[in-house]
Amino acid sequence: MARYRPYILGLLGVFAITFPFLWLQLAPNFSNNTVGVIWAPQHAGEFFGNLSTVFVVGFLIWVGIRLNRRFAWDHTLARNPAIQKIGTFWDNYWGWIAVAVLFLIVPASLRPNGSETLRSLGLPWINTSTLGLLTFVGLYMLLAVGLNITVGMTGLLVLGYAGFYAFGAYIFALGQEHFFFPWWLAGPVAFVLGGGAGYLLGLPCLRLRGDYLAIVTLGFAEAFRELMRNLDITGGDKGIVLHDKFIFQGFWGLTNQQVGYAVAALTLIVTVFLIQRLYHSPIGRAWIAIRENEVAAEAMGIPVVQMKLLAFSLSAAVAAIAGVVYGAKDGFVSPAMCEFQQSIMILAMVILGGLGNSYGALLGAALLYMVPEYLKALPSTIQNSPTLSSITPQFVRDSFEHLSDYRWLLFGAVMVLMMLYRPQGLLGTSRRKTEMLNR
Amino acid sequence: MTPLLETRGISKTFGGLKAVQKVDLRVEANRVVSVIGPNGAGKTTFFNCLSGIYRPETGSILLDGHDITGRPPHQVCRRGVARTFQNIRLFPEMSVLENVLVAQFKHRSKSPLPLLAHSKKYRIQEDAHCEEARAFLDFVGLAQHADAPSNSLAYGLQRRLEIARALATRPRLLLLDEPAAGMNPQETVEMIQLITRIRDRGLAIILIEHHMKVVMAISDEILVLDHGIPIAHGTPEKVRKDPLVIKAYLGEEASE
Repeated sequence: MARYRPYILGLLGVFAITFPFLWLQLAPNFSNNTVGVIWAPQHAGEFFGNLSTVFVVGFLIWVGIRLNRRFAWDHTLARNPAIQKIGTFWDNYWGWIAVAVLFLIVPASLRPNGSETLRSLGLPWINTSTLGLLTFVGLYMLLAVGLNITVGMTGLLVLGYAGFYAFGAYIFALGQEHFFFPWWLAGPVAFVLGGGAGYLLGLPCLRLRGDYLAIVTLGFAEAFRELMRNLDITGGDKGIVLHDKFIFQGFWGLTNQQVGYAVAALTLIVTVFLIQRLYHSPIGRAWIAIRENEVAAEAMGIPVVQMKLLAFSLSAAVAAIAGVVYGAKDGFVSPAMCEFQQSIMILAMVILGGLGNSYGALLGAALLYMVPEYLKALPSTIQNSPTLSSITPQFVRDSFEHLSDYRWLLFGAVMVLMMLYRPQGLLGTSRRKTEMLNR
Repeated sequence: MTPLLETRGISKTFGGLKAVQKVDLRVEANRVVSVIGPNGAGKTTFFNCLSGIYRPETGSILLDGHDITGRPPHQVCRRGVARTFQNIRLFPEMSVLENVLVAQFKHRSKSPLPLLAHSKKYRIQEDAHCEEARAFLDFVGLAQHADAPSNSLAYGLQRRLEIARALATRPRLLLLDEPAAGMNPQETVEMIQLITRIRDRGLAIILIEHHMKVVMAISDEILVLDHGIPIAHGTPEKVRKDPLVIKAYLGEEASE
């Protein structure tokens, strides 16, 4: 019983805290201008009904984590030779597999209504409109992978990463307004300028021990947003609408959407490929050494400040490129891009997927971007699919109606659960996995 | 002939505490110099000054006649000084082999294009360095643990890994901070043998140690610090008989 005491107390606490909001209601009486409080349990019923879906999703995530714990070992140490073989195969050919999977989506997207089989299963189907969604998933994957260099591999906290994302987008927007350059030229320019901005920002604070970088980048993102909101050439809060001729245009029979998707996918693959090469090189090892023990790393001849600057500049440069792709895809750049919530979202993706693991960052980005979108579409999906609506009870369907409203609550709960039960993230690093194996 | 390492009157204070005062030391290649003294005598502070973690307030440190006083640790390491730590500082989430690979950083080419393209030259270099790292692990007797996570090693083996990692920086001077601390008699004997073998490779070694057995067995010279002040310096026999040392530190041992 003592085992469950914290849970019971926690539950009672929730009831106590939510009591005035969920169980009571203010009742104004206009005849004598007083406000009374009445007992209104129906709100609580509604709330806990909605909350039940949170538990459904939480359970699914828990199952995923258990499965992951069973199978996601470091393949070089796996006792089962089949897992070793699959792991080695993945290491050698993941790039080609990823290219194939990502680009199979392009022809599939030609069908405006998507595939019937997938739709009847209630899975997100591939059509012209979901291609746009997938492009954004690719963008967030790019951001998560970029942030992972600094936060995951080098162990430096960055709280204003979206600042560099917006920085890249504004370079593109202002550049095409004043110097007329298209996206394929803006990409490299943003890479260099974004990296330069990261370098200059890191220069003063990376010489110091401690989490100064977190504060400085947080300030940078906020200052940049305020600056963009208040300058005349950036159009203030309204942002900049880009010229059609500089954003993604269809060619060779491809639609605009497909070109945007292909560019995002290619950028992502090339970036992940290069980051993985760095990760398995002396430079990547130096980053991890700094994360693990800075004093020892420096004593072993690693120039800690330079390596940190390199990691952070690369992160910033990747974000700037993502900003250009966003601008060219969306055709609209606004200060809302670098809101704090955005930075936290990207950070959450990295933490969920597993600090230090690029594939984990990809998974985290996909989950945190797709799940809310998917939840939003879920009620209508169930409605439209005869199979699903026949097997889903009415009360589950009702609670799904409000699910996307609760997504921040869900994120919070998932993050707390992750920190408690799987602090290394869904995938973790192979190094951390070896640790798991020895337990 | 200039010695490999020469310190000229280095001092370091923390607030009012004089941790190290005017220490002079000359170390030649192929020699083992031990630094001993009671707890809090400033031995580790002295090491931190040598390896660049602290900057001494006065005095200078010369390595092969070059002044390295106040250089940051990675530059000191680049010049050929490697160290181990009293409280083990491995990279816990890396494998044993990777711990050694990290320390090769300064010998590796970091030019981006061959690295990103995995050019043939780069792959040959990578293989050669892996071989070298395995050779160092073999040298300290960790060859069969190469792929284990470094935090799964037993305590004594972790100390050996620290030595392998320090050797991988290809130092000329090795600073060992209590390498035999917490070891049983058998492991202590093995550690003495290991240090002797490292010396025979032509390295100079400065050793901080509390195990008198180790110190007396392998030291060519002993420097005794007490409250940061060098109170005796010389061969083990000389230091053993020094009345100041006996008073400060070796009392029981000398009366045996």
